[in-house]
Amino acid sequence: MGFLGYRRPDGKCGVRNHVMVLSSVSCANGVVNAIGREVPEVKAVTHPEGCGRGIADVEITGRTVAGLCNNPNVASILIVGLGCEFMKAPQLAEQVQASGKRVESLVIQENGGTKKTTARGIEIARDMLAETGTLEREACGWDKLILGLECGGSDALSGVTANPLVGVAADWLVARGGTVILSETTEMIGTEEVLKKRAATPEIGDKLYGMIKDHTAFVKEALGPFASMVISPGNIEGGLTNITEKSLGCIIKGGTTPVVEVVDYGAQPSTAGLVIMDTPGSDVFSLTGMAAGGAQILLFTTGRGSPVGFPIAPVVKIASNSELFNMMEDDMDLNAGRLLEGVSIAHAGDELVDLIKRVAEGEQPKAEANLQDCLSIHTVGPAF
Amino acid sequence: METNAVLVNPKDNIAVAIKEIKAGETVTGIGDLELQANEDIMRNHKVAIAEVAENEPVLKYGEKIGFASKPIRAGDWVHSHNLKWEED
Repeated sequence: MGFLGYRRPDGKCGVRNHVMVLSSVSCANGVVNAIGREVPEVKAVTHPEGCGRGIADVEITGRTVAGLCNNPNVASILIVGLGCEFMKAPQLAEQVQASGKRVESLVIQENGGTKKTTARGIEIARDMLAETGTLEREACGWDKLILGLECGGSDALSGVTANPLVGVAADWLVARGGTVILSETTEMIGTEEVLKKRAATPEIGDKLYGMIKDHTAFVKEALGPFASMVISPGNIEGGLTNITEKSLGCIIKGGTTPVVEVVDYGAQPSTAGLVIMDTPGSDVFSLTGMAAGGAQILLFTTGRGSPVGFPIAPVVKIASNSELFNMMEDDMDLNAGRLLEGVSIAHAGDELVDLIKRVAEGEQPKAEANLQDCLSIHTVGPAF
Repeated sequence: METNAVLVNPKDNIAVAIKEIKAGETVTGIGDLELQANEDIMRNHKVAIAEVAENEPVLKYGEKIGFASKPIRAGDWVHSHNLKWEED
């Protein structure tokens, strides 16, 4: 059993069949957007990176952008660069070619400027659409699916209803040989002992423990007097006593299986199972990292209400309470608030799994239908 | 009777109030346990469903979220006033 998806030359399976037009540097964003306006069927993806950063960020940006190209939801890629940037479009295209996908690059400084590059980009994009439009869905196993997990705009019920519900889906997929990425290191603070015990090997446990401890120290240093805001006065008034309690409510999204790998931001897991990715807690950065890691579907729980989606991977919204589900019904896909109204977690879990199957085969969750295409690449240093 | 609390994990010694529970009211949604709230429990706050001796762990999600900073009786509100993060 599995889903009908798009098989890629590298053996991966997409749940979508996107042509992505991507900038290699922020200076090319105008051309990418111009192509996107003319050919709205493509996913025009822009970001503020690609130049003027230190070595660590060059590495993260390169890995993330290449990862987005390698995401199986993407069929073909046109990369638009400026010419004098650090992360060059042709080099990036060459790197992605290993996936066997069609990848082309255009350099604005070599193509006679904005209008000529846009015109050429439109031609290439239309040709890619014609080509990928003939692809048909084929049977793919659940072992080909990577789910990315996210919680944002959380409330006191996120950790009681929506996150445990996502944990059920996580266990369901891992049992079928699939992969689940749990991210948001900021929201693991205080659970390092718990997660260490859940690691598949002592080495993975030590890596995980170190990752969370390092991040805790970083948060203290970077946020100074605001470090305690990682658990906010609002959280405490809402009934959460400390950061461990809050974080346990976040990591329960990952379900109950052992942690089999810890990966850097935007890096692809090398094994199936529950994988932890080192990302910021901030939602869009975290979603971007997991999609670069290959996640085809993103499950996003929210209590206050987040409308956020992602350009190349459908985002499924799970509301923690019925008030939110009714108030923002145009943004919400599933109401976990019903767990407090007599619906069993087993029943709601079946519904979520069924929704994942439908989304894998093409049903658009609200954020996707709303074109809530949000993307931000994580950085660690200043811009120069 | 309407459910007013949730036991997140069967190992836990606290439950989460999903409605405001007034002092003296029965706490429901915690299995066969017979329990009355000793004080008002605000919505989304924690109520002890078992006695927790001083310095003993308070469990939620089946995991330690801290230690009792003073003796906690079943039915007590559990928050910063009686739950500390680290052991002495």
